[in-house]
Amino acid sequence: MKINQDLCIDCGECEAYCPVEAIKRVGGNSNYIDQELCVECGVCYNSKICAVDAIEREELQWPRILRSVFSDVISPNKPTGIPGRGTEEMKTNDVTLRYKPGRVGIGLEFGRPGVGAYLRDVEKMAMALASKGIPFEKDNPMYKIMQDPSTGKFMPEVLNERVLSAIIEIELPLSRLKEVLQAIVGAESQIDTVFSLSVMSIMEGGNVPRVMEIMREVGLKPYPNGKTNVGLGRPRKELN
Amino acid sequence: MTHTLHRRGSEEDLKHEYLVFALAAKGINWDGSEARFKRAFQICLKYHPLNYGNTYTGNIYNATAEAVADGMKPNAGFIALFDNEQAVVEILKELKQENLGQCIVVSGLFDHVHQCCRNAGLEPHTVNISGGIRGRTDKLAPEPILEINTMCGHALVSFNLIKKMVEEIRAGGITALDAAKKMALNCHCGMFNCDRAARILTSLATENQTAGAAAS
Repeated sequence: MKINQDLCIDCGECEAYCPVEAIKRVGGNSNYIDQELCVECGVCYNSKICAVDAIEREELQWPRILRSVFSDVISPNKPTGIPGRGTEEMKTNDVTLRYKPGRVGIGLEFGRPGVGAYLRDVEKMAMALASKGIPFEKDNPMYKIMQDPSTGKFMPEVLNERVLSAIIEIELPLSRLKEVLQAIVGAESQIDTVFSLSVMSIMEGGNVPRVMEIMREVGLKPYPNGKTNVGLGRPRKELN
Repeated sequence: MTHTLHRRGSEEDLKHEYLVFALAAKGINWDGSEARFKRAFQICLKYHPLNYGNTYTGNIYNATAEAVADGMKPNAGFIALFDNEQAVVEILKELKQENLGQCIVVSGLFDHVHQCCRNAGLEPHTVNISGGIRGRTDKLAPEPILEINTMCGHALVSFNLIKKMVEEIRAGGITALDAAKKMALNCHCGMFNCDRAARILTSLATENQTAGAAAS
């Protein structure tokens, strides 16, 4: 994103809209967008807050286009070959059975809420998880920017890209949940941003109380609210 | 992905906040899902959602229900926000009766959502449990601002916009509800709860006034 300096009237209305404080103003000069901080989420542009249409989209090249892929939720079909920002994880588990009885998923979302994340920070956690021999979800876009999924190492050219949100997804046996959550909590001091953590489990088999217990054992405080797949999904062949 | 998962608030507030959304899985119930999403959305509309939306079309504040219904795609169903459990129960009953086959997720307090499922004759299938925010939590805004920010699961309502709106309310330039609606425009998916946001904004504006008066 950029602000056309010839059009900007220096009203400052756009500044507060930026989720990562990338819109700046120095002295009496026009507003400008700090390209290092900007995550290309498009909130300033999409909000239509600029009275003189001075906020403009730029055509992005690799690897900067990753910022838009991971941050701009309403501009689909970016030409990167990377589909979206995450997967449907448990939201379609009633038809995919990705998380079976006795197994759980973990989602780690970096940068949200409201802070942003450099991919170099996401890589640190990916490498910590890889060291435990935990495979990454192959359909998740983070997998596509890994140079070596067995080590969690990312392509070097993407490390300094900054995004509003990046998600790591893994799936593992319930028996390893405690050890892996401990590894995540142990690696968090290396991360220079926030991340939101979640655990996914099928209700069948009565695993959920044990999942909650393990989360508490490692010092997490499970929220009383969350997402529930209510089990109404059916394969089309069963309905026809 | 996490979207409605890390929503924050007191249990009392969350008792009045339920999000219903519909999804499709590639190769399973993907093809032709637009029409089935549309039908599920029509059912939700009967129960007066506080907000609704579709990522690519917009929400109740900037798009008509018809536009949202017509804008659905297999990778973009809808979200509808409700303030009462009975609406959720009735919606689930109707969806079960219609047997559309699309995946339906309800976000809210687990105990309450699961009771809604049972009242509708359903067994909850899978859960996603938040373990909270970790890492550099010192970079976060104070809790009331975070409560508003996380109402948009994509975090597109900035901490600074919330702070600015509090200042404008305090200065008498805008009502709390209008400020909430202004913020809701950034949350295209239709998850933003303007009623709750307005209550929090009012409280923040009043607190600031009190603090200012105490300091002067």
